[in-house]
Amino acid sequence: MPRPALPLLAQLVEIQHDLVAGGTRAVEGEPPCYLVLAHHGKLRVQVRQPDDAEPGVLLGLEQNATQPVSALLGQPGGELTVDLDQFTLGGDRSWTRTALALRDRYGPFVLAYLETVVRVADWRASGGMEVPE
Amino acid sequence: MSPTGELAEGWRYQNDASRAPRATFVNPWEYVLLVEGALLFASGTVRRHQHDVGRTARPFTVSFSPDGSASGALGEESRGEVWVPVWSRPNTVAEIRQLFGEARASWRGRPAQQAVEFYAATRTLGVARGIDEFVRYGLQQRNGLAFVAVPLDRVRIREDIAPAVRLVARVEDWASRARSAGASAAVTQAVRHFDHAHLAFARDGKPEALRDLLAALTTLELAIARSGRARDKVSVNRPSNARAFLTEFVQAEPCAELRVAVGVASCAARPAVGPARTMRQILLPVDSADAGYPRGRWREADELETVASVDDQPVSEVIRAAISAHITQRKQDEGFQQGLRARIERAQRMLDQRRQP
Repeated sequence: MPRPALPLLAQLVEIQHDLVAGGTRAVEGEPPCYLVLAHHGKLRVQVRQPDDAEPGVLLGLEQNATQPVSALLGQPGGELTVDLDQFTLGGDRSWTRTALALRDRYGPFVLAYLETVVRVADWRASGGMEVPE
Repeated sequence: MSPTGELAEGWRYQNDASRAPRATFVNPWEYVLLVEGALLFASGTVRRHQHDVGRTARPFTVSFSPDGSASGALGEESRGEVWVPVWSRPNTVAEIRQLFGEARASWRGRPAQQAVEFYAATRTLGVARGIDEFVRYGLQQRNGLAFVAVPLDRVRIREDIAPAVRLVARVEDWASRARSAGASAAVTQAVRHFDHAHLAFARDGKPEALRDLLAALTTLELAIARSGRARDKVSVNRPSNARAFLTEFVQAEPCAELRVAVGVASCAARPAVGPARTMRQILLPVDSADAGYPRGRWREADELETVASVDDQPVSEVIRAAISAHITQRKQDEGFQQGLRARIERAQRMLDQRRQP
């Protein structure tokens, strides 16, 4: 079964793409979305599950399904529609293209370092630790 | 002269007005892009993904199979097959390089290493999403000693038949063990027949091909039972649950013959002494599992014409008796009798549908 966090991750990717498409956020907004997706070490350049079973479904997400999302990271809440098309090869919107551009821009080691920072922060948050001053 | 030869000649005479180049029939840009595109077949991470391949690892490359095309022949000299992906959505070079570097063609969690596995991967979402089709080329020795890329097939990615093709996984492992036995010409021929049916079903996914595959599997079991050396090397096949297979047949076309076949297959001979013998154990030379043989065991060749543990009767007589016993038993089954009328009406409706043009 997919992890419960994955729909949220995909929503964040959706937010990011919507924002970029709407021109309300510069391209510099992409690294956080990449890190949210990648910090468990499972998904990076490609987003898929090891044993795909049915078309139109990816990691428990159904194409065109709608989900409410609460206000997050300073962005207002609303309703999001799952769009799996961005995880398909090529096309106008391609997550692989975005991730490869990040890799070429920052390099694999910088991205790996940032992944580690997010991973450690995730552990600390899950453990209920205090935010350091 | 080859197309590329014409191109080379055109370049040679481009500054010689007295020797105007003949019209080439290859677009020069196509040739340049061909060379650039060929560089994408550099191995990349393929070696890591195909760690057990035992040969040079190249993207989208598998062992040659003579099945699935009109031009393939058994024993033909080949350097394998290349399955070239075709896509229609625009991609950047970085994405295409990623696609070739990964070269995903996954069947049962492993990289496809044979044509049949590649076919199965294309039918079960085992390839990258967004690829429209694959063109299957065989690197065959033709025209003397030269190896040329021979187009063998075009495979559209059809995602709607995935559940059916997944059934292949339930039968192919035992057949692989039988292939390694290679005991006699009859076994080799039966394996060959199975391979043909195996690939046909992985390619088409149709119920008819599944029926042929199961028939070929039974033929292979019989061939092994008749070979003493093969019996020693290969254990008895433990058949998979029939429900998924029957569902596939019924969904395609609910026919009367299938119902009769299922009914007969459900019968069992019940000898006076010893355990009941299922129809499979009557028709195939296998005995049921016991403490010494948890998968069952092969019967001896001289016992093939009779069912030894059922009073030494001929096979036909045992089947007749099994069906008779089954009918008698059902007559005494009140639960079965209560639902009989509904089943007869359902069968009548099915027959009426078949009679309609």
